[in-house]
Amino acid sequence: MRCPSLPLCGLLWFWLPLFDSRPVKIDKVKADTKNLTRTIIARIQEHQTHGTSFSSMQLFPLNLKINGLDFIPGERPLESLDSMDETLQIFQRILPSLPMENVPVAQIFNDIENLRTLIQTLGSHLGCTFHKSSNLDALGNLTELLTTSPYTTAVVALDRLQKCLHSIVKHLDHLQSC
Amino acid sequence: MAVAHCMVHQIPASSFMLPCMSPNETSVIPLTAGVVASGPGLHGEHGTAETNSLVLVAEESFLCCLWGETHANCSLYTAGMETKKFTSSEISSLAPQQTDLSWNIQCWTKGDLELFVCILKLSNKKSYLNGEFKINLLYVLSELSLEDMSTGSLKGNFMVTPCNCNGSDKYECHIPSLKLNYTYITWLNIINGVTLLQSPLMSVRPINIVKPEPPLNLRLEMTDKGQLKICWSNPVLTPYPLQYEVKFSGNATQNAWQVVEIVIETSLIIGNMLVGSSYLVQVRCKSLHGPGFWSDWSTPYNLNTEDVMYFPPKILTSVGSNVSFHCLYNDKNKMILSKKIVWWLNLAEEIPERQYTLVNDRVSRVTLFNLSATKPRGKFFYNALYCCNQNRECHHRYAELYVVDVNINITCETDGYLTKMTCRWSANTNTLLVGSSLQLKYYRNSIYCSDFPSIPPKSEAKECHLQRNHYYECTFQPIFLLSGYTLWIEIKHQLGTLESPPTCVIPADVVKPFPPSNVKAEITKNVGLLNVNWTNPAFPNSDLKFQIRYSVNREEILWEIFEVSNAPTRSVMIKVLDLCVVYIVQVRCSGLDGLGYWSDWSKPAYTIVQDIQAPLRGPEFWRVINEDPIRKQKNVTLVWKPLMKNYSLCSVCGYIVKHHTSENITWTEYVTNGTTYTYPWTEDADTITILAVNSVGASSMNFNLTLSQQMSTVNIVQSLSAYPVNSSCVILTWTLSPQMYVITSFVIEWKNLNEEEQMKWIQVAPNISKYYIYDHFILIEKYQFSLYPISPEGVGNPKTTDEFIKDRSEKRNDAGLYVILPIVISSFVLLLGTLLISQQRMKKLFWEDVPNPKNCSWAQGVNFQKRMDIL
Repeated sequence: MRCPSLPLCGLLWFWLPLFDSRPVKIDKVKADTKNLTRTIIARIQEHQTHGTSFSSMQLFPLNLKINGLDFIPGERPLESLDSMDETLQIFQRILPSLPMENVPVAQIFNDIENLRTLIQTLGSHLGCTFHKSSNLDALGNLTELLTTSPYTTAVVALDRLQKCLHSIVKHLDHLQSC
Repeated sequence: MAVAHCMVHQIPASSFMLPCMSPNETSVIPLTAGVVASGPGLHGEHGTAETNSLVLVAEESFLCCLWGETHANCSLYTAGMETKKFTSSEISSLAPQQTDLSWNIQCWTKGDLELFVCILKLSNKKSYLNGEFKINLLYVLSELSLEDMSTGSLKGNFMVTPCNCNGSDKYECHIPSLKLNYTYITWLNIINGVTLLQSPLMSVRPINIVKPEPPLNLRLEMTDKGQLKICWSNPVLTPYPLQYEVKFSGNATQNAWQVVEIVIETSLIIGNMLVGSSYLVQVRCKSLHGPGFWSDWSTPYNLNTEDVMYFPPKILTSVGSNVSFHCLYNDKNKMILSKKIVWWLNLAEEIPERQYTLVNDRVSRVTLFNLSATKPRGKFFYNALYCCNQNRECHHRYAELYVVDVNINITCETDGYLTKMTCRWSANTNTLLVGSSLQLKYYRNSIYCSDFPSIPPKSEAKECHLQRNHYYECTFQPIFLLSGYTLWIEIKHQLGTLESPPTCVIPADVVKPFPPSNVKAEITKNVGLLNVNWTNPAFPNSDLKFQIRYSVNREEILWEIFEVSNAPTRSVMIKVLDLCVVYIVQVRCSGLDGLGYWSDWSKPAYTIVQDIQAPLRGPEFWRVINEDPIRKQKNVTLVWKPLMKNYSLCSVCGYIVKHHTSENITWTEYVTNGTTYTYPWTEDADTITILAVNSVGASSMNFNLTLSQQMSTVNIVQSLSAYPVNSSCVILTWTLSPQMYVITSFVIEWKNLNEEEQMKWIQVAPNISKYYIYDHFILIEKYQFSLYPISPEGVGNPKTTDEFIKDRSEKRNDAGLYVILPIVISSFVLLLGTLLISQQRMKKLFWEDVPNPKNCSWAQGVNFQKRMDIL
């Protein structure tokens, strides 16, 4: 049963324009999703090796537990396409505010945008539903944190984004359902 | 106090009067005082005000009023902008002769929406007001509505703009940089000497009094049904929809204008009846819904135009398209019926009738299909299309058809960081019209491309820069790696806009990766393969394929390419022929899926020549025996040729000379320098082996030579002959006598006896009896050749010759003579025979044909059988 209810079918129709009447091979979407995820990871790693702020330091993965930044996801593995989309949506809100030089934040933002579209395409193929992120409202103190602890916020955000991306790659290897 | 409670005159109206009176005169005016509510008046032509108050006018001041058509509004202010007095009256109660000073004022917002303009014109003044007036327009602008503003906000916040005298008694005031939707509170200060006259407050929202620019570009067009319509273009910068008023004139006098219709479209169908008349058309515009003023009338358009009219008169289109022209032909005030119209192209080619359509009795249409690019003919960059009469009479006017090739190829390339996509395109300026401007437009799909990219209604423009190679370059950064970018070139010309065929590009599909780094190359020990390894670029993360190009490092590099596609890999082993040379190696990569570009070649890596294996064999060597008669001792000098690199692999650091005597005694000598070794020959038989040594080890396959006293007297070679071929080659032949020894090889020695040059030698195979020696021979000099037979038992007695045998070449010459001589003799005989036969045939012809009286007039009557005695 791909269309268990009418609203679900409606949602599928909503995503249909994404394909622009082009039959997309789901294997290609899956491969592109993995490649793009790895590309974002490589961008973060590049930042670590070439960035002026953190040069000659092995930052990621962080081995310390940082308190007070619970609203940034990445502590728990992502196990559904919906949670991936939701998490990436949160990072899209966080990234533009991060005070990082020599990091292609705008490029990573665009990559995440593409990645979300791919995940939604995979989801529509599997008949999944997607929700708007509920944690977006909890980002209220992000501005305050960026004022008081900009370095911590930047490093933790990048670290957790990377962990999320690794989790996505792992999940895609065994993707069978939503 | 709220501003609204003051006397505020609303603009519009745009045109009103400002009369001012001295206190004495004002006091007699039957004014009524009271609170004045400012009327909204936004939709009317003129503002209104209502009042019932009695006014007490201060004696020290003038009272100025604003007059509309029905009411006069007056007010007097303190320096603190507090309304001191205000009054309103029926206009009829104020006689113009009572005023000391009167101004006509007209205000509006200019069509460019940037400037608020007020014109003040002095209409009358009393004689005691002498000298120049200095006029300032003061204003305060606020986002708030009039009701929400207070007089306090006016105090100190106003701005002043001076009004410039523009001709006699005419002043022009400007407020620049307008904010169209703000409320402007304005008033006028008029200074005449020491007298200050101040107008009541006026309020205006610039958006409400816009006077647009007049419509532009009036022209005639034709509908598909063949009806004429007058069309025009909107003035630029209209922030709201417009309505238009169209008026026609039967003649040129202003009074004959007649408004025909108010329309909301930018065209009006007028039919064909007015064409050729003397009518003039003008159009003006104003806001469709809100308040505002009519623009000025446009420039008149004369309907009495040409005898022949083409619709459209010019067409700009792209290659492969179809276009249609309409024609209305009025020949000497007589309309040509459409069925009698024929179409010609460039005055040279009649367009077939099947391409005509009779739109109506008067209008003919021609359609041209699948157009090819216009070939410029001198200064003419168009095809001329003529509408002619059936009797082949054509009017000199023509329509112009411009067909442009818009197939512009756009190629894109994503950089190695996957953050930037550069698109390049070049326009052939020879095929584009002069005055064309080109711009790259694009639209982005969220992911991937559609199968058939088309130009969407919404698009964005991208700035491109012309490069030295005449290519335009445009950069997208950051990019959406998997989005489909639909790109095309928009070609704008005053005749129209064309678009090149769109192409869709996904940045991830056009990646040009960075080349592999840390490339290292070496020839592996023992195995002898070219081993290349490298570090992959950080991006892209998809699988890559690699090309390795390598060549012997010399002046003329001849690359060989090796491709590895079984990714992931970071090294490769390549079999190469020559192991003891320096190789130059470069690597490049590309996406395994075949999309995108090859990276640039990496920085070159060079192999180092080093020993790979022990030498494959020892050197060929020979001995020279010198006898010392005094000591009665023989010294043996071993000489050998340096080992070639293909045997040494790759160097020789020394040689081991190994002796093995007939008494089974063995010893070795190590020779590091040179290729000779001398020792006294004391044993009866001595078997010598020379081994080549490098850093890996000693050669395993080696040549042996046994020196035996006994064997040196055995004659094995029966004869030896030397035949010179030329100065660089001598043939040596020999015969062997029957013998019991197994010959393993021969050694040929030769030397020039006239010069003190070293003896040369060469080892040859045992199974041959002829050998070509290549050297530089001087044939007039004497050479000695010796042939030594080599057997396991030792070196036999040599056969020596010191003469060249020349018979061989002489015989060859004789043989040539033997061949040529018979040919010459045969040819001579054949020629002689041919001459004899020819002579006989000529004689027969002459004596049989010529004397025939039938064939020759002079011979008629002569009897050739009878003998004639002449004398």
